[in-house]
Amino acid sequence: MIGADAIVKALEDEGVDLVFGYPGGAIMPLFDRLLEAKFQTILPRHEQGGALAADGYARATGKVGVCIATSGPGATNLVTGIANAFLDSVPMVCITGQVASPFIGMDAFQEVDIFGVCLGVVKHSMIARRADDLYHMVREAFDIARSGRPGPVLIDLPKDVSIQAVQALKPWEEDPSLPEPVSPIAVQKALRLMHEAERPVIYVGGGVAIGQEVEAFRDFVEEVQMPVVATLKGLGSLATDHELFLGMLGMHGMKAANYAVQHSDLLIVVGARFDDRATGKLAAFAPNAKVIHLDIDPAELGKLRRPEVSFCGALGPVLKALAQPFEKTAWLAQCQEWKASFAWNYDAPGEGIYAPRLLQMLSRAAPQRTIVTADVGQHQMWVAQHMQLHHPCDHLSSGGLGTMGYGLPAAIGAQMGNPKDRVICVSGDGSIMMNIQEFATLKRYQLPVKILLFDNQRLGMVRQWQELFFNERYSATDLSDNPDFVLVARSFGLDALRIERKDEESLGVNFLLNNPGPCLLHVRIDPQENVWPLVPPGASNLDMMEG
Amino acid sequence: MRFHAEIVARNEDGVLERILRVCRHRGFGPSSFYAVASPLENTVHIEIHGSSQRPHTLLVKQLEKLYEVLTVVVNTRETQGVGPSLESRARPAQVRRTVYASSGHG
Repeated sequence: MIGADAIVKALEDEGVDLVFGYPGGAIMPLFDRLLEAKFQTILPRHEQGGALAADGYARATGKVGVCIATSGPGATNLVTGIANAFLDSVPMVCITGQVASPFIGMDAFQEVDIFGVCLGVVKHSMIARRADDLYHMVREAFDIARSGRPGPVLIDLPKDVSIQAVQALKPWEEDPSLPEPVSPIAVQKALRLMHEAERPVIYVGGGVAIGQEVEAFRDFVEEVQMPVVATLKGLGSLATDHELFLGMLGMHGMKAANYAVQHSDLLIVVGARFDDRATGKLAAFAPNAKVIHLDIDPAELGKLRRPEVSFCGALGPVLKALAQPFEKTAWLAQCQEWKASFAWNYDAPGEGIYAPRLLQMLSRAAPQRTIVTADVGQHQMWVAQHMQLHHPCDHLSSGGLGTMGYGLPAAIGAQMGNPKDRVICVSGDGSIMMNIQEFATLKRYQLPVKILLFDNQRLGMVRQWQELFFNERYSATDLSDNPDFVLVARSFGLDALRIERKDEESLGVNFLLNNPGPCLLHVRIDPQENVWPLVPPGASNLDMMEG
Repeated sequence: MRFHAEIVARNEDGVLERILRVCRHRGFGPSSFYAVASPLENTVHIEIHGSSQRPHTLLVKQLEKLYEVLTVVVNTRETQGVGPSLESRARPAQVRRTVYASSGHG
């Protein structure tokens, strides 16, 4: 057995069913051994695509995603994917080849100090020094990646270590962590606040999905009967068509959600972190609200808003301890009135396609278990606003890093992990070009991912901000020289269709949902269309601009 | 506000870089930095002096998240300008936890 065998054995013992890997010189010994592994190796067409696919796989399955690349450019190409996972707390193990130990620090061919490069974007990182340590190192990396607040762990693997003979595998022993007891004093205090509150709001974030506490959260909501708002990553924690759900809060949130939060006197914050996109001007955020904050990461408690009561640890036991019936009838009625008053209007003038309407039509026609991945930009916000979501693991969006190019690789990872489920990637003409090479991965593995591509021939969100906040000075946002996306898709072996008129919307939805293989629907939309509402930077969430 | 941080960590690859990176990134610029390794315990004892406008609890919580870090004490009392002699304070590391946040501490 050599070092590479020890890594493969550790991956097998972790129950890994696939890895995303792109080979190269320094990592060749490991790729050689992957040929005999019990799991599949998926070849993306760019390391960034591999890292983001591992991220999508992890989010859509609840397992740890694995990506592998060679040294130097292979490793640096992973960095955006690693940072994406770090910012969104996604468990990943990333293995990079490295030049042989004697050459480290000698500026050897394809040598980069990837350990140093990644210090700020990993939960932890390790350099392999001895083949005997590799088995334990990989198992430990998995443990770190998925424990507590998850995140990516990097293992840098010098080539000589990967071919070194293993004398004895350092065994791995699981360290079973006992659940922390919930403080009865804190529970009493929180319940008192919940009883005293007249206008409580539950503000849910990505922690519910990450902690796999969706059922516990839903039981809690059903018991306490309080209105719920969600961050981008919290969407689906409560089904978006649930009567208690008011919508996403924040910069592009629903008015009802922002109104409720701003008028609330108690925020019950569940797995959220007061992100600036959610709070707007922090000093003006929910100014009269007391806060009960639940999070597994102690560093998030009190970081941006001091809570009256905080619980650090797994969400489930706390939610169970706080689940009591409350009657806030008048407040619920007020929230329902806002929700009805500010409901979306899908009547848009003209004969063109209105993206929010098309997304709403698509999500109504799609099977309930449909995984939607979004790229970054206007379409990302339209997905969050207008698609019905039934589970947070069905909505994959780059929230923290905002990575253009995320949608397609994430869809590949999600489809790999859920081969029987429908996966739709919603992208824009800017974002799709960032990882368009992954069309080849769809083709190679015959993944039936449906791509809905909104094309306004602009970097739409940047253009919108230039229009609103930079005196209509449009700098580097024109993409009117885009390629013919239908021809591009077909050249990769994907079925493709273009629509551009309102009366073609049903045709487009049917094309996407009834096509058996990978396909692309190219949708031309108005370049002037904006995302509304919009809370301007530095403003309170009550100061929403509308079109 | 001046701060003084005492950190005990396992002496693993990159631990000093990691700790300094957190200090810089979180807004706690060091004015002095002392570190002494204890090979028998495989630990490193670190003292950092510096100043920041941010509450020191932010630094404590972020340092505690580092996997190698065993204990962190940060205070904002004015300390002597010259760093202390670390040799005089060699002591067993207080192992407070093994894996960050898996125990849901806090």
